[in-house]
Amino acid sequence: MSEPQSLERYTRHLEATGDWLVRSIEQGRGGSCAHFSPATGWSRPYPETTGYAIPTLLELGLRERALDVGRWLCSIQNEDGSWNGGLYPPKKTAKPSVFNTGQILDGLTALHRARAGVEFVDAAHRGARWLVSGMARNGLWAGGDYRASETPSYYSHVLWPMLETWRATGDDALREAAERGIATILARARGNGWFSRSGFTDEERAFTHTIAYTLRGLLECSRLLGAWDDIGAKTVPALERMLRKTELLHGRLPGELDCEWRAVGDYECLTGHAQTAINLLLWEERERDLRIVNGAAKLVDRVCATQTLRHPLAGLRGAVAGSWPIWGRYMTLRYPNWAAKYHCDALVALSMRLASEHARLTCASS
Amino acid sequence: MRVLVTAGFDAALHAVALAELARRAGHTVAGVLVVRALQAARVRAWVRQRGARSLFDAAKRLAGSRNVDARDAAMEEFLRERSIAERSLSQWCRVHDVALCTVEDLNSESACSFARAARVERVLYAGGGILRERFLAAVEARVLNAHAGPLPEVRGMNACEWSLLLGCEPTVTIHWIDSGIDTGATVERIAIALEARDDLESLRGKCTVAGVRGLVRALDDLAPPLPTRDGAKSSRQCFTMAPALRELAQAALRVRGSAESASG
Repeated sequence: MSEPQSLERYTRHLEATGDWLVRSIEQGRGGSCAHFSPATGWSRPYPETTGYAIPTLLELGLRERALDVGRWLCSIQNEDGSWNGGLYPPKKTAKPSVFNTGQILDGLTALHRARAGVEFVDAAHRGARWLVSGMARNGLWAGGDYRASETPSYYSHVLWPMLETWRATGDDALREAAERGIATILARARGNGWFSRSGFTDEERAFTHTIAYTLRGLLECSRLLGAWDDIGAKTVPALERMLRKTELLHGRLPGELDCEWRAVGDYECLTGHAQTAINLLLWEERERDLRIVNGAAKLVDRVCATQTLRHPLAGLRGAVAGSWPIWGRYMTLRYPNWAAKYHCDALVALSMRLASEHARLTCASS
Repeated sequence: MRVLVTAGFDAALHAVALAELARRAGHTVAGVLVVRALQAARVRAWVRQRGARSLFDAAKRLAGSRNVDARDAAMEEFLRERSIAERSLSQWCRVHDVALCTVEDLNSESACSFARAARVERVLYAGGGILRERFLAAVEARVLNAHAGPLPEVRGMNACEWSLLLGCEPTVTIHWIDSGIDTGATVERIAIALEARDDLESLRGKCTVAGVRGLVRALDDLAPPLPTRDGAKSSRQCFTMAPALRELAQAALRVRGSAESASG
C-alpha cells in the first residue's frame, strides 16, 4: 500500500527543513546561525538555539552534526558553568544567561541519552549547578532576564532541562530547585488558563512562541516527574483555548495574544504554530482524541503552506519565516533557526501519530 | 403544518427535496430563506478553510452543475426517483408560488422579519450558517436539523467523517436546534448502512438523503425528545477535517465497509 499523500507531503517538508537546518550549521562556523535574512544573509551562530536543535538533529539521524555542535557548545562554556546570552562571538557587554544556559542543557542531555559521551553530561551538570546557584527561594531567578523585571513564566522551559539533567546525573538538588520553580509558575495560572508573565516583557501579552514555551516546559516537567495531575493537567485549559482558536481560524493562530486570549496585531508567529502543534500532540498522547491531532495538523499545514521548497536562494529553500506575513512583529523579515527546528519536530511528531493510526487501521483490515 | 426551509445557497438540492417532500406530505411551505453565496466574507472564509483551488468546484455547484461528487449524485438520484424536476430553490419557489427571501445572513433583521411574518410552526434547517438567539427567538426556537453524526458524541462539522474516526456508528440525528452547537434535544436517530464501495462522498450523500427523509418524517410524527443513551456524553466539538485526517477517515471507512460486507 502506498504512503498516504499527507505523509508524503510532510516527508518532503521535513527533508527540506532539515536541509535548511544543516545549512544554518554549515554557515555557522561551529553553531547554527540564528537566522537568515534576504537582506543581510546568514547571521552569526546562536548558542541557545543551537543547543535545543541537537535533539532535532538526532531525531533526523544527523548524529555527527549533533556531536559537532555539542562539542562547540562545550568549548564556549564559561568557567562557572553558564553560557552567555546573544550570538557568538559575544559582545563585550554579554552576560551569562539563565534562559540560554537552560536551552543548551536540553541539547547536551539529549546527547547523553544518545550515549554520545560523558563530557556532555558533565558540561550539562555544571550548567545546571550554575542555574541553581542563582535561584531565589521561589525557584526562579532574581532580577529577571532578557526584557522582563521578573522571571517570566516561559522559564518553565529552563526547569525542564534542569530536570533532564537531574535524570541524567541523579543530583536531587536539581530536582528540588526545579520543583520550587514549577510551583511558582503554576501559581500564576489564571482562571481562563492564561499564565501571567508568559511574554518577553512585563505586559500581559505574549507571542505564541513564549506561550508555547511556558506550556511545553510544564508538560515536560510533568512527564519527567510523573505528575500529570499536579502539573500537566494545569495546562489543559490553555491547550483547549489554543486548540479552539486554531480550529476557528483554520490554523491561522494569531501571532500574539493578550491575557484574555484576544489577538494582538494581525500576523501569525510560525514558530508558535509549530510549537503549539507539538504541545497539542503531547497532550493528545494522554487524551487519545484525533480531534486534537486535527488542530495540530492544521497548524503544521499552515506552516508548510508558507514554505518554499525549491527556491534558488539556499537560505530561503525550506526556511520557516518568523512571522507571516513576513513583515509581522515577530522576527520581522527573518527566518530563524528555531522556527525550522520546531517545524521539523512538529512534522516528525505529527507524521508518527498519523502513521501509527494508519498502521492500526491496516492491522484491523487484515 | 406551516413550515419554512433554510438553505446555504440557491442550488442546494437537499433543500429542494426537503421543500418538495414537505409539500407533498400536505404541509404548507410558507417561505424559503436562502443565504447569498457570493459575499466577500463568505468567499474569504471558504478559501481559508478549503484553499483557493476548491473555489472552482464550489463555483460549479453554485451554478447548478451536477455530479461534481458522489454526494450530489445521491441527491440527484433521489430527486429523479421522486420525479422532482426543480434544481434550485428559486425555480421551486416560482413553480409552487412560495415566497423566497435571499439574505446575507440568517441572523439578520431581514431574515428574522421574513421568518416572523411567515408565522410558521416549524423551520426545517438545510444550511445557511450557525443560528443565533435572534433567529431562534424570531421562530420561537422551533427549528429542526438533520445532523450527519450521532449526538451528543459527535458535535460540529464533518460529523459523518468524524464518526468513522471516533469509533461511532454512522448515524443521522434529527434534533432541535438550540443556542449551542448541536446540543438540542434529539428527535430521531437513523442508522446509516455502510457498503464496501462507499467513499466519504457517497457516505455523505447517504446521510443527506436520510436527513431529508428524517426531517419530513419529524413533521408528520413528532415524538417527544429521546432520552440520552446510557453512557453517551457530549464531547469536544468537531471542526472541518485537515487533509491528513480526512485520509485517515477514508482509510477507516474502507476497513469498516469491508467488515460490513464480510458480515452481511
